[in-house]
Amino acid sequence: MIAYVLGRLLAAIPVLSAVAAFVFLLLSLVPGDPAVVIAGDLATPEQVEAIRRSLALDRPLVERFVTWLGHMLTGDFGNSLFSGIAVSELIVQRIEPTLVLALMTIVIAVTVAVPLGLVSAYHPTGIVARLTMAGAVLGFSLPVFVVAFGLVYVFALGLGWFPVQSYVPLSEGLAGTLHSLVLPAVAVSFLYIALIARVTRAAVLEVLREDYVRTAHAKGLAARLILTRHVLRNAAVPVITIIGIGFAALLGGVVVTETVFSIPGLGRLTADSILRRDYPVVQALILLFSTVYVAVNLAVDIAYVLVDPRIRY
Amino acid sequence: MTAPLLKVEDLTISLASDGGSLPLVKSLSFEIAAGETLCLVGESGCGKSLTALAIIGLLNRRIMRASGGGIFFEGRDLLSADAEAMRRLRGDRLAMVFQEPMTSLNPVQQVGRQISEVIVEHRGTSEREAEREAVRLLDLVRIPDAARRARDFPHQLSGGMRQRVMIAMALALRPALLIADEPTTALDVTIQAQVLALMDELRREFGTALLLITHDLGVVAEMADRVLVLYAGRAVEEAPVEQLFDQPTHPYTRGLLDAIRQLLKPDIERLAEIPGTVPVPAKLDRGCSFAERCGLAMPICGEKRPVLGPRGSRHSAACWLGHLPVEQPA
Ligand SMILES: Nc1ncnc2c1ncn2[C@@H]1O[C@H](COP(=O)(O)OP(=O)(O)O)[C@@H](O)[C@H]1O
Ligand SMILES: [Mg+2]
Repeated sequence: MIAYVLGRLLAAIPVLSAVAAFVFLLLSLVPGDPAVVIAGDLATPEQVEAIRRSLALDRPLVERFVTWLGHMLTGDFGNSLFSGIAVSELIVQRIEPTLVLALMTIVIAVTVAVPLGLVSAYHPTGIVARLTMAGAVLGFSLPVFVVAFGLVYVFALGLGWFPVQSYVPLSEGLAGTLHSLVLPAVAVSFLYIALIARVTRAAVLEVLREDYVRTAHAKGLAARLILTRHVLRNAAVPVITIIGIGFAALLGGVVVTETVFSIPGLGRLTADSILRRDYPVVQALILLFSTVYVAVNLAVDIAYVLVDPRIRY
Repeated sequence: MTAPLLKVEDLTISLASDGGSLPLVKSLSFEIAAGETLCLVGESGCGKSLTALAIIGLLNRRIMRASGGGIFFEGRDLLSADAEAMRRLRGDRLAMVFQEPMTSLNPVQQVGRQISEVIVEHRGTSEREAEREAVRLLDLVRIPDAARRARDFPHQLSGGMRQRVMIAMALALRPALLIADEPTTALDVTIQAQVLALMDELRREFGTALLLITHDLGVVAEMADRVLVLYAGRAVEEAPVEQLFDQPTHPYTRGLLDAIRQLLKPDIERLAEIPGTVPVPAKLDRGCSFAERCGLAMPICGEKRPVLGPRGSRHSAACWLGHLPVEQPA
């Protein structure tokens, strides 16, 4: 198992190298003079020259790449062109809200969606199945900001249960943080509930047709036991996959939510940095998200091995 | 004679379709005494598995419907029993072994656990105690090194071992009736006899009656006390095993027996197959279902259906031969 994990980590190196090369070339492939593009329309020639020097754009491409890669590997992502703050520090400041929001969203989504999918498959014509499937269509089609504004309107402005906006950092206590993120997490979880419930239902429907489920019934086991012990475990692989993909997508897709709820997370940082053409920050963020995708992928593959003894590594 | 362990009375199983229902098993009646082995034989598709599933209450309710006089087991009617009562019987008094050992075990659960959970469910014993019993049962079905094998997953066992695990699971609580649906058809020929002998030995020891479904007459000769021959969803002949082999009266049974006898003679190249195929189930069927394929068919065979009539003590057949219609119609 340890050898497997190490092997997979090694296999991630080429993937991340390719991403790094892409991220680097991003700047060099911008048509025209990158320094001018970054500086924007209103920049003075002095400002353009300063940017050119700070990015070492006057050096040959290969030399720049090697230097840049060396910096990346030592954790030096440069400074923000906008604020001058070290990129690594910017990211550390912003990563907490995003991570907590993503985790909370996925926990809500899994807790609600897996039982719904399971029951929908077991009683395909029942009331739960009908409501779930109708709700899933809604979850897919309602944009996050619509759900978010709706929730804010009812639960923040109307009932006053939750803050309209504002993030309470973990340093002020977990309860406060969770409370401040309930509405955004619920808003984002709609889509993932729809997604995970549908995948769970499809996977469970498939497993219910298997001979070993008939065997479990022939043994006179209670339906609840059959569903949890025999069916769900066998349906786990596609469900885990979608949860993994969902989590990765969540981290990358929080821009809208963070904007609506004014949460100072990575999503906002990404959006702001792109608008400001703050290339060092954008580059670091792309690298970070890619690394997260690779890590989630690995976690999913390890989970496969844990749930299904037939999957060899 | 005391009441039989199982008494199936006028059982009809229909496929519910849009335009009504299509009977697949028709007016089937038979009995099994405690400790007895009844073999259910017939070509593939004649309704053997459906009959078994109806008894154990595992027909797919969404599309299949069992109706008729009743399925009386240990004095209670399973046809009208509620789902919870059936669940309590299954795995305890009434057990089943399926045809496919490759797919009938849960691939992600250790085999010992798959056995012990039946015991825990029905007896409420502790997990540890049930696990010990599971190892004992694995030992009983001659899985070598049972304590270690109990922790194996199904894919780590051979087909024969898996089927022995299934047998251990089914017999774990010493049921009164074991239903085995072609339990060795999917196994290597070399181990079929071994597995059957083991199953028979254990069920004798436990006093368990056996409803054995097979289309292998060699297996019938080896295992059966009595035989029930099914054709296109109906019983066509029923007899103690020696009588059936010595004096088969229904042309279909004779055809089956001829086929196997020729198989046993090495110098004959081609089997005397029964010509034709089993008719597709239809809503409207007049006369004997076998008439089209029967070499001895008479005009009446296409007109009226013969009912099961006596051919000696405990021997009956549904055929117009030697049983001229006196009064009753189809
Ligand atoms: N789920 C099903 N849907 C439609 N027809 C079925 C289904 N199961 C069985 N049948 C039909 O019922 C008949 C009897 O099937 P079965 O009892 O499985 O036969 P066998 O004697 O081979 O075990 C066959 O004609 C089969 O096509
Ligand atoms: Mg069958």
